Amino acid sequence: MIDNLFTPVGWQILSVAACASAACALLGAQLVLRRRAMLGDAIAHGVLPGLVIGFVLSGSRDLFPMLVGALIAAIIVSILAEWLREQAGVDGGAALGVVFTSLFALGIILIEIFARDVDLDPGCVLYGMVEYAPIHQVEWFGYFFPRSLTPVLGALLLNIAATVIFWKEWKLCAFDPQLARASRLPFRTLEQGLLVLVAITSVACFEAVGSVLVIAMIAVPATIGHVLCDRMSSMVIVSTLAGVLAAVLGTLGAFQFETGVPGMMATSAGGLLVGAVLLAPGRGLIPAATRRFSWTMRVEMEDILAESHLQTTATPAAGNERPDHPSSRFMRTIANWLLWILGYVRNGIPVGRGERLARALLKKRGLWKRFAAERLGLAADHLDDPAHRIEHHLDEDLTRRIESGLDTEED
Amino acid sequence: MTTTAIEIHDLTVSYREKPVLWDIDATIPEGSLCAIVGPNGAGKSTLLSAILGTIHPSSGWLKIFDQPLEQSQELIGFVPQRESVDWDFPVDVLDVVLMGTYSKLGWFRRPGKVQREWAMECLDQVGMADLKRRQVGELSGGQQQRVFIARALAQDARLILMDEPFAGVDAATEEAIRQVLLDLKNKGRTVVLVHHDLQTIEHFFDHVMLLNLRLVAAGPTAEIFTRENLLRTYGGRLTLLDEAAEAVRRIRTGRSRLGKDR
Repeated sequence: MIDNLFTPVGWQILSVAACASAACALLGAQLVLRRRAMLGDAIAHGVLPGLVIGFVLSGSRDLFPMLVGALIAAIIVSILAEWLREQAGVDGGAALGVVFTSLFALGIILIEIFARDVDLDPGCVLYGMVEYAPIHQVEWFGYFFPRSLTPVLGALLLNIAATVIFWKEWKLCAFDPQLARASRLPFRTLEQGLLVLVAITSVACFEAVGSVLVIAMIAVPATIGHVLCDRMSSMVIVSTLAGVLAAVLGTLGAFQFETGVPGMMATSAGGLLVGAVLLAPGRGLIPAATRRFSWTMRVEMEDILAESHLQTTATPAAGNERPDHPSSRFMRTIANWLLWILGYVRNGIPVGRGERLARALLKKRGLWKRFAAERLGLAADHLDDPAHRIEHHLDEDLTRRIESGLDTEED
Repeated sequence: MTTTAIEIHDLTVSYREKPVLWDIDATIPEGSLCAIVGPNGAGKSTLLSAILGTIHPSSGWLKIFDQPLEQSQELIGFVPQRESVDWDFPVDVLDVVLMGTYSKLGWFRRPGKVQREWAMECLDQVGMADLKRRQVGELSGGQQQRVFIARALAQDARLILMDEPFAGVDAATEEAIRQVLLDLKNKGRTVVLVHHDLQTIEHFFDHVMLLNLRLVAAGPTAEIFTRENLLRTYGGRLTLLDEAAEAVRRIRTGRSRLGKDR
């Protein structure tokens, strides 16, 4: 249950999960900026055989031999993928896909053969064991911490340091590789350094949260940041926060529904991404739809007001008939209700503010027609339709400028 | 003013061993405004990359201000082709221009007040100072081009390369770019750019390089930009060279002639 989160055990699980996912998100942001999130995926999978061989050769679950094995495997992934692409003419994405899945499968087989009886089973590699974090404790400065916090915290600090130190170099490499190389930056070293960090982070986090989660946490929070932000700095921060938030939600959810933390984390990250795509201010789907709806509503309401005003004042002047409108009858009905609720229309006659709006709109319509006829030299039959469309867009400033433009003599 | 900005000697560049530039010899004097002209696929952008040092020639050498390219610490300003930029990248206009100051900053240092003021000055020169906080993807094509030219100005380099800065820009931007180019020329900077509009070359550029896989001609516009040379550049007289390149490719790939890639 949720109460369990606020116990020492809950905090310990959460701290490991949050550090791991923040560490992944930081690097993920860099990869997403290069449009190479897939590479994070590939390396996180591809390090597996290296991990297992390191584990088997050293016979222990010490981090160092596994790290060395994983780094070698990561380098093999990038070299093999590059080789396939260059020499065999395989598409870059496909080359990576082939290499990392093969290596991952090899890793699983190696586990089955060599490590089945030890405490390294495929399930643990895939899903991690963050739930057991509190079992093994270490003591720092008189406090007890979960043992698995050490590697993930180390990876997090390392990634923060790298992001800060190489900020502008990585930014330039990601945005404009050609200029980066022309500026005599060690482009290759910087890019491969990033991949080495991805490998280190995968290894450091895989024990805690499993390789499936590493992949999710590299790709998803960074994508959220990319959707929401316009600057690289805010994107990196938002990505990291999204990673931490996913960890919190995932841990909460896991306690609530008594399921695994990693799966719940990946699911919440996915949920957050959907939320970001829907709700992102400005370009999110829902804000955009709302904007479209309220605009249509405004146009409908103004049209209705102007039409009924014309009917009541009994000036059925030619050219004031409403042109065929693309919006539906449904919208028109809602607009009618709204006008009634707002008190702009009583018994089909615009009153009060409704009447003022109608007059203003008709004035703009007339103004535009005059403008189009006198200044743009358009024929009489060309005036109505555009006037009906543009009248809704003319704000006070534009109206005034058109007015004064018409009053002065020819430019 | 008589120093040489770029000296190219017997330069051959190949992609996967198929040569795309053959035996180029040319010198571009300092302070000149040089247009690289040639049909599509003539290797114009490749030549720029070779001068930038981002691709390695298979033979021949390049010198930048009398220094071999590999040893040269000379900054080269660069304006990329518009299609090659990721316009969704989360950077605003000022960020992009500030990138021009990075290489002079060196490692570990962040652009500060001095750099921001300098970047604003450069933006002002191309008439984009008002849009400094705009995300680059929200700009019009001409504005995007101007941002990258401001970045090249911010690099404050003696040599500036531009890959088709006039491609698809509006009249106002074209005028702004011309003004910037003239200013650069007056300051004694060397500008080399890939150009398509043959009409404007005679009035504007003092040097041209006519390129079509090999160098057709290079030198002062008045001598080189002749009808005869243009015909040789665009007239498809290079079939033999094409054949040779094709032969190299065939042997390497083992495919019959006219494989799917060129």
